[in-house]
Order: sequence, then structure tokens, then C-alpha cells
Amino acid sequence: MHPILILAGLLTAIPVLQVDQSVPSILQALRLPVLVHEARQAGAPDDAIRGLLDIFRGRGLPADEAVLVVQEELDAVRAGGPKDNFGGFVQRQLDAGFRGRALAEAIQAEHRARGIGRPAGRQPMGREPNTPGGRRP
Amino acid sequence: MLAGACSPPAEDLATVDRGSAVMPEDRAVAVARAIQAAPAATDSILAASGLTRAGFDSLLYAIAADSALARAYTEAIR
Repeated sequence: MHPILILAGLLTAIPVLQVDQSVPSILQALRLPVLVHEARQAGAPDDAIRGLLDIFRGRGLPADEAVLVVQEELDAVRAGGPKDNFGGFVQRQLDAGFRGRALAEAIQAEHRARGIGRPAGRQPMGREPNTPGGRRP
Repeated sequence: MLAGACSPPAEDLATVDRGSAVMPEDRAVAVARAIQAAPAATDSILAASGLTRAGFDSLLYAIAADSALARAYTEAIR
């Protein structure tokens, strides 16, 4: 039998997988309780954390977007930023209309402008440059 | 303990009966593990767990807000 016909037969026999368009965001969302736990471990006050989560929920921010912001806030605390100001700049950025990655970047810029957190160009802790998704190999 | 005849919404952590068999963090962990193992099947996994995407987000938020639940969830899925 011709190889192309065999291949065609195999391809038609394989069920077409429905790729969930939300795959990347759901995996991101799963990290929310983990990152918040790490923030508490890093010394961020529980009331500040809960206040930030309340803000997110009040604004209807999906968990995967909240993860981006919490990661930035956690990185700032780990880099020596004031723990009691955890999430302190988020409300203003949300009021300015920032969402998603743009929100995280706006918060990062705010931190940098105030001398908080990592220098420009350095990757967040736990993420390496030049790797897919910024993950450690 | 809850009073009343109505069953709480599945995603409403605040009204979950703590005496029931499945704790909210256990439910979230089970769903999270299933999704991590098969991300392409997320919709099916959520549906099988009686959750919408918004409901699962709400569950994750509620767990994150509780320090004990967040710790338990973190230790379970790492």
C-alpha cells in the first residue's frame, strides 16, 4: 500500500484533539494560592494580602491575571521592598485601566521608579531568560 | 455549621460545610492535579468537577485568602 495512503489513513483515524484556548491561563491560575502562600512566607502581612485579593475579586480580575501581579509584588518583597506595602500600588494601576500583563508591567515600573525590587532587565526570581516561558531548564 | 434547606453553590467557599467529605482545598487540589496532567482537557475536568472556569477562579481566590488552606494547597500540588 502506498505510504501516503497509509499516513492519510492514520491521520483520519486519530481523534482530533480539541485544544483548549485557555490552557496557558489556567495553568497560570493554579499558581495563585501558591504565590500568595510564598508571599506570606516572605513576610507580607496577611491583611495586606487579603486586601489585595479583595481588590482583585472586586474588579473581576481572573486568577491568572492576579498571578502576574502577585508575582511582581512577591519579587519586590524578596528584593528588599517594604513588606507592609504589599500590593500598595495595585489599586492605582487598576484605576488607570491596566489589566493582565500590562498591569504587572505597570506595577513593576512603579516599583522600579521607587527603587523597589530588581533592576531593569533582570528576570523575576524563579524565571530564567532565553528559555521557553521563562522557566528554568 | 450551616442551617437551612438550600444547598450552597458549589463554588461558594464561605458556605461550604466543613463537615462534608471533600474539603474545598482538597477539591481544588484534585482539579489542579488533573489539569496539570492534562491541560488540554481543562474544560472537561472542570465540568466533571461541577465547576465553571469562573467558579474555579473563585475557589482559587478563596483558598489563597486563607493562610491554612493556601499552605495545604501549596504542599499538595508541589
